[in-house]
Amino acid sequence: MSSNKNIVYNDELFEKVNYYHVVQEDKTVESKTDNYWVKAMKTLFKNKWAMLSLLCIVFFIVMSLLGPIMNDHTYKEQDLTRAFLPPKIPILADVHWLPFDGYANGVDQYELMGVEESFWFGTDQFGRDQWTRVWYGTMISLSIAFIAAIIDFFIGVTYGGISGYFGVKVDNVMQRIIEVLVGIPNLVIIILAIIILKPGLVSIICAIVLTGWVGMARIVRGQVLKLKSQEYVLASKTLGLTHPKILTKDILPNSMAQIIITTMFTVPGAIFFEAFLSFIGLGLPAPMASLGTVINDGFESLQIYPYLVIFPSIIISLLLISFNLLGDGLRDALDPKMKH
Amino acid sequence: MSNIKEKVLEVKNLKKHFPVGRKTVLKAVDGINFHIFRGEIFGIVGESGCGKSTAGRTIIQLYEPTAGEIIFNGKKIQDQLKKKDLLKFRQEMQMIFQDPYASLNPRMNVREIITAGLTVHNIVPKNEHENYISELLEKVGLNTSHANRYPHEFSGGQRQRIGIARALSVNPKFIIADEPISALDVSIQAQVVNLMKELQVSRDLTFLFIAHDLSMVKHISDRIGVMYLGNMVEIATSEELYSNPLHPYTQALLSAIPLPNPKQERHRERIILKGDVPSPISPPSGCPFRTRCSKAMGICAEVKPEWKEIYNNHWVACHLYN
Amino acid sequence: MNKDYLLEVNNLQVTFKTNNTEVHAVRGVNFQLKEKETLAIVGESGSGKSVTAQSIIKLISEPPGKINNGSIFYKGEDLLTKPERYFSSIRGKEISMIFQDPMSSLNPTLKIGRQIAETIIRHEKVNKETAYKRTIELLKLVGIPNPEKRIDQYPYEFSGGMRQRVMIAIALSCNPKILIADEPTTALDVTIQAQIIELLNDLQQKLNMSTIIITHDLGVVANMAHRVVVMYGGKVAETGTVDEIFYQPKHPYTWGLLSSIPKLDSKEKKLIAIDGSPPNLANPPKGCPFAPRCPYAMKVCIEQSPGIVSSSDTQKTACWLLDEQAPITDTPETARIEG
Repeated sequence: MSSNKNIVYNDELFEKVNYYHVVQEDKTVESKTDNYWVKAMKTLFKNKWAMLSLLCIVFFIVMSLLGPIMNDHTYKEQDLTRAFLPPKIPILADVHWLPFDGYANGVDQYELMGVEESFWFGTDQFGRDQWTRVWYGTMISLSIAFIAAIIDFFIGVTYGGISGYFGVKVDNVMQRIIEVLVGIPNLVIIILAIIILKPGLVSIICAIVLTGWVGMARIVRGQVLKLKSQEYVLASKTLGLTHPKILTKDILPNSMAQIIITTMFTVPGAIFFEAFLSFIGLGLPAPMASLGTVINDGFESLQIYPYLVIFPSIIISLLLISFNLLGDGLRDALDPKMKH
Repeated sequence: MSNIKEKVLEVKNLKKHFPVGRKTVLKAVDGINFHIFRGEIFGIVGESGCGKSTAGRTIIQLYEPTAGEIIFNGKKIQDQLKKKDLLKFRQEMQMIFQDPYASLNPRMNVREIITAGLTVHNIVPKNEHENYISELLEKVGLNTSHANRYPHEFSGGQRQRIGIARALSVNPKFIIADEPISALDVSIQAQVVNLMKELQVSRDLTFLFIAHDLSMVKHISDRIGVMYLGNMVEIATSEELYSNPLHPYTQALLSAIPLPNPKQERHRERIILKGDVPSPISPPSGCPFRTRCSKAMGICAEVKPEWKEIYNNHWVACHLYN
Repeated sequence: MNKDYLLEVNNLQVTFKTNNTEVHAVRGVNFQLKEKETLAIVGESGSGKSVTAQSIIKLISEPPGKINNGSIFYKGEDLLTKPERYFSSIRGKEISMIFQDPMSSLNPTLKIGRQIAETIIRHEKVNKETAYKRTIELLKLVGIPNPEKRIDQYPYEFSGGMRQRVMIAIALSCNPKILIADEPTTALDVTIQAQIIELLNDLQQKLNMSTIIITHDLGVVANMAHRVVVMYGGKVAETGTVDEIFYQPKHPYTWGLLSSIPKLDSKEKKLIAIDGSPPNLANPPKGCPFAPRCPYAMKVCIEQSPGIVSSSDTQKTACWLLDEQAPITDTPETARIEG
């Protein structure tokens, strides 16, 4: 009968095993797996581009803090006797194909002007040290972006959360307000804000936040609308949990992935927007520097002194690319469904 | 069951309409009447879109009723809007949900899921939580070590057990089970149904069991209500409903169930309903079932049949029995 | 390759790779399909029944899936050795498939008539007019009223049951030899399910095709199948004619299934549940996959995979209980069904 007929089995093998014992073993769940955040972080660490971007961002943050104190110059110290010096780094000065030899138009400008010291990124029209200004500007740009993103986060999450959760009438009113805000061109609002507030760090942050939170609010509202009909939210309601409890325990933790991803993309947006504002002349007042103002200053003499634009441009580009790649990596890790 | 049956829940002319767009309304539940006795399992069956889940959710106050009365433990629920009364109601009536994958918060572990209700209603002092949860988990067939696990680590049947433990955590008297087994595999369904039956006895619970699977409802329930397009068409004890179905829809529903018995099936005469369930946005005039009913008469299109008790405890809404 | 069989699946093995685990979804499945018969593959989720069916017309996406071993003979040729383009010529024409969710298999932006006609044109190289004529015939065949009008409607204008009829019409458009239906009625209501079962039974007789129906519902099996394959844990537990499986089941899993479903006509108040849960196929048990849940399990069941025992010409069971050395075990009372 049996296909295994020729093999003789020990009788003992045919003893009944303790059935309940086997079942009990089976009832313990599969080997413990990582919780959501640990798993997401593991996925993120495996993503080469995201990690490279993170390294890049960390490097720029460190440099923006250390760069300005690496020499004795400050960002606003002027000296017209050494204006428009090309970059010169002593160690690299002999490698002439690199732009760090202090030569411009075939002449060593440092010898010409009799400057002993070396300016690593050169100097601008007022003789300010470009190295210090670029890194100081990076610091200001990053601060503006981070502060704006944090404020966006708080306003957006609160507004979107309330609007989505309480729904119907509240939602209706709150969404109309957003529509009005979005309806007016960004630039008009910002110009008005800057006129009222006087140009400066605070007014730029305000200008960015004024319309920036809308994106976050919409994302959060969408999430909340989706989640509030989930059965586990209904379960919490039938258990008698209060609205704030449901919002903070059930809805927010499950929207966190979306919120973090959105914030990740807000930062580069804010950096770019600040640069754009500075570039059209609505930015920080002189002598303060941000990546935008530094590029703007250099742009006026782009053809003669390209080095004034090149370095800050490289930094801003790398920053934007890195933040976007990191954001993509985070999205893949936190929300695997969005992939492909 | 004792001779004097106490009505624990009474639903009178309950309606729940949802606005769809500007002018149209979806009549999910359109005036249903029934009562549930203490200690029984009352089943509601019907096809998708018949309003059975909406009825359950309206009773437990997840939706506000459009009209009608819900009387629980002798008190009208709509009057209990005071915070303290509502909290008491939330403790006494609990719900078990359909989708074991959507009914547990994926970011909370089992302990947090169960503790949520304990703290709201102060069921046990905080230092006894650990013991209480262990006991509860063992009662539903899980064990203490599961308390630190997250929902995605469990199978569908185990998740449904966690959902049951959550509902039981606040010591309810009445549980609405909204399609609790339809997402589970056949061999697991029986486990969950047996567990609910055990709990009904050991914890003295009353169940409202909502499902589309008439054979399972018939197995578990003492009495059954059949819904069609937002209306209750028939209520009887489960034996009576099976052996003597009065409403043509109940007859068709019973006949449509494929039985796991090939020889019987070869000789079985089937009533196969033609067409589909009409939209609850524009239901037919008169009797909702008349468009698919083989026995429809002239009056069925004009007058909505009355909800009547034909025999003792056997209610039906059909002109055939007028 | 036996001449009696239209389709023969031998030792099919399929795995799926996820992050860092390999799930052995199908672990050596054998079955045959005769001409003009309806074969039901029954099992719970994760038993490998759908993967088996999808392998037949290579609907398994590789990666993550991979057919590791086995052969599938159709008309004397091993399908698994064929290149991808061969399948696009037999899918729909020789072997077609319908799925559980008809909405996701229909293109929501195209009119129903066009979707059916295009399938016909692609496979049969006929002109548009003939194709549309045939479309109307097909819709009539599957019981859709007013087909002339309905061909100009979009999928959202059809109800769930009607959509499933459309899917059946598309599947039948090129007169396939084999129709594979993967849980065709699971998403439908009971009264609609009864309509579709009746339709499929009708068509099978009218069109002389063979049908493979994949389901978890024993009621559907009893209503449609001639022969049954019971799957558990990626393996075949038992095969036999429908009467053998329902009235003389030999495998404890089949017993368990039959005991755990409520019978409308019985007064029994307790269901006999199968304790525990199905095996994790990322790490499949080395012995019988059902052993950890089996009330009759012996030591040998946990140690070694059971051989296949034939108890009639048609019934084959993979269970150690049927070995000569095993204690004689009768079908439990709860699994007995009166015919």
